[in-house]
Amino acid sequence: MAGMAGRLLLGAVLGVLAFEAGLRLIQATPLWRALPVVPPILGLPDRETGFVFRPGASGIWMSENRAPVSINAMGLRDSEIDPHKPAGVFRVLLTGDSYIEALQVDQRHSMEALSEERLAGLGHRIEIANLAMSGHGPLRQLARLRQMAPRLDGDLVVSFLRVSDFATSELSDDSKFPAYVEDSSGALVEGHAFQNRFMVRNADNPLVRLSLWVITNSEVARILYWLHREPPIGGTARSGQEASGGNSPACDPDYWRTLDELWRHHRPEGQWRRAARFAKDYSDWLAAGKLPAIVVLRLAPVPSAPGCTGARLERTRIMGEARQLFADRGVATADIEEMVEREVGKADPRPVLHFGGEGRGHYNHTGHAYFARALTTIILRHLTGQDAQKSAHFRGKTPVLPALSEVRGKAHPVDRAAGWR
Amino acid sequence: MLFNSVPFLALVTATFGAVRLMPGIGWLVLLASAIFYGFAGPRDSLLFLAVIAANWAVSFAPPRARLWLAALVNIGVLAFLKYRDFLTGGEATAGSFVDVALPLGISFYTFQMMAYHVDLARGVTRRASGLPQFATFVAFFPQLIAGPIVRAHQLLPQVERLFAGYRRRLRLLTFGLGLICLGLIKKIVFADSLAPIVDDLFAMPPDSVFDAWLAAWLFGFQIYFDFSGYSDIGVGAAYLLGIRLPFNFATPYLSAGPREFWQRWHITLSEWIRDYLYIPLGGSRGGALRSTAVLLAVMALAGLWHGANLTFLVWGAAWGAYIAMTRLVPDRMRLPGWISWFPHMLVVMALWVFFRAPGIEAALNHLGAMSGLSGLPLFQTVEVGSAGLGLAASGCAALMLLHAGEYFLRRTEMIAVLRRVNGPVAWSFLATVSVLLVLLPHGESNPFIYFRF
Repeated sequence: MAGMAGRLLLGAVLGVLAFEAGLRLIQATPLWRALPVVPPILGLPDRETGFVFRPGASGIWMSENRAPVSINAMGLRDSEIDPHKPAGVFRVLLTGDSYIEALQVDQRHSMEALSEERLAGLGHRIEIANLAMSGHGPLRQLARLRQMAPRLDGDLVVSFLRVSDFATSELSDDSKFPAYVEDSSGALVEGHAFQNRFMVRNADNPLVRLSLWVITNSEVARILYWLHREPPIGGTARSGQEASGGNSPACDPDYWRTLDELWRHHRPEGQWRRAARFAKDYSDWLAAGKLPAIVVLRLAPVPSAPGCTGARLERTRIMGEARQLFADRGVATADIEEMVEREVGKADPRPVLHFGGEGRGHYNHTGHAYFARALTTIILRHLTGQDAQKSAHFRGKTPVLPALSEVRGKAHPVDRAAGWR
Repeated sequence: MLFNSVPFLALVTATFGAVRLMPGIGWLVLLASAIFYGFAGPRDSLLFLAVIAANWAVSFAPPRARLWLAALVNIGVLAFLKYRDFLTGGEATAGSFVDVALPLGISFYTFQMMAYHVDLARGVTRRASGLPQFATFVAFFPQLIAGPIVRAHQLLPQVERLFAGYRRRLRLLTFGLGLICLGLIKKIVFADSLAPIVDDLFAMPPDSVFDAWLAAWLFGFQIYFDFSGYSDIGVGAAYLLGIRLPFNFATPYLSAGPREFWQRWHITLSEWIRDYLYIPLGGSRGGALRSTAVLLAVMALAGLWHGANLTFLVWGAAWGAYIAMTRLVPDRMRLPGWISWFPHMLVVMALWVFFRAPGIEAALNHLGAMSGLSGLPLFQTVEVGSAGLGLAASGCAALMLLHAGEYFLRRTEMIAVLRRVNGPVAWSFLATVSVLLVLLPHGESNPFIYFRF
């Protein structure tokens, strides 16, 4: 009986090892493009931001597209970055959410990498460090900057913020991530209730660390892990597939009601207080570090169809208010969706730019290329001083960019930047 | 209940254990089959029960009336539920009883029961000894929903022995477990991996000739891995329960001609068509013209069995035409197999386009792209680059090599290998791999393609 049990156990162990070897073989060869792989676990619990990337983590991302993903030694979804910034390099700290994190595409095809490449092609030594992480709303991005900026010695901050995030519980619910909560006197303070979550509280527990190590390093263990969670796997229609029809929800004026209430009428009052508080904290942090910043505001574009005029007006008003909130704090802003929409030149650019034929999902390769152009333009505009008047912190600071000195007074740098090879 | 699911593995395991340890094994298998089919929902289950009961009653009908009644009950129900819209060109009333998805496995059990009645009439088989035995023969869960389509003389005696308490000795448990594992690998690792790629390729018109052929080739392998994988799981599960089912596939893409293809692809359907349609309608007797007409009609019907759509009808008829054309070639002019294999494969893969395309027009457009006559470039490297093309071509070649490898797995010499490794270590190894395959995270579930039939 014991002999039988022993042999059964041996067979099971061999089965697990063979399966583990098979999955690793798939991941290490071009077979990962088609055959099953187990989604990676890229994050670790973190007391400051909720979770961070695990340095050295890698795997195949399987949601919306298959892409190899790796996290560098500094815990960024980026190529390796020298923590000691080389002389003459202008370093941009880029924050954002999953759209900027871009797990859906190979890192080389992300807007950050494409923008870096374009800037290098124009003769600029500009490095863009991608600090973006999935789900990062405004306050989480600020927490991320607080955590990473001292290690990176940045020269400019570019933060991609969703205008709609200010109207959700993103800034008020601290059960999973930092947020603004009211203390006993009703004043807003940063709440960290998420630190009581089991994984965050016990992040240093040896057993928890061992479990995490096993799950992150064993394909079979991760299969069991994903049994209890929704694995990030999902197919997509071919990129570029035109929308099958029907009106964009952004065309419906009702779609804008909540945002209109917040940005134009400052209701609900608690939500508005949090928005204003964030703008203050963000600009105070920039001032303390003497860092210039550009807040790239993301707001759903409205198709240019005739029936969408009302919605377009709503969007313009809301975007204007959002930009004003930051301008009042001396922070420059940009409306990137509008920039890209103009470039794409289609009535509804969403199907072109996003995975999923009906405008759902993250940016596809085309989307990243367009947004990279816009990001490059935004950075160059800033460097040539076009946004200098809007940024109090930038005043008086001269960028060390040899190539720009050649173009001052000659062709407009934005036009040059727009002249892609 | 999908074969590649935890509930199915649990059901097979529980039934295996019960059959090995408890009395009344025939009843246990019938109960397991009822549980299995019960997952299809009350509507399908009630219909199935009614059809079984009706067929049992028909088997007692006077011989003259029996076949007509069997046709009425089986073909009539199938025609009404599956083909009425196709035949009338209308649409069923929304919300009505009949305006629902096709009952699970109806095409398979219909053919099985018709074959039973014909064999009964011919004296090839005896009537089942009782309703439980008959119900188990019809509803035997490893083969009910996707074949193989077994004949009464193949399965009924084994079922009768189950009810008689005969517990077959499993000499090679590794064989049954190995088949289940192989089937799961084919379905989960290959078929389900090819599915989104094929869906993507067929979602839009092809960009190039290569694109068009790639779509057809990959679909050809997707449907093979999907169907043969399910078949292997069914045969393996049946083996564990002491039942021997015939194999349904024998590496069909190694065939060198259309006749050989149908001797290797969905073998039990081919044999059913041959024995119950082709030969009774005259077969190859009565001159070339007559036999060609019979062939075309029979193959068109075989295509229509797969689905109530013009594409399936055309697919079947095209196969009939292909077979008829090759018959016209004199023996002395036939190419050796190793030469005719490649052009034959091109025809096979091209014909799959009718099976996969959403409609006739899309199928013809796709075939036009494959022909190179529609003005498309040979290759389109803008999106994927030459490296991507190389990868795709290598992938296609690899699939063919895998298929060839399967040929060696199925040779009888493998039985000797299985005997050598047969034991607790191998059993546990195969069971563990099978469970892990089923537990692999996946996106949208890809139902078995032939579920639709």
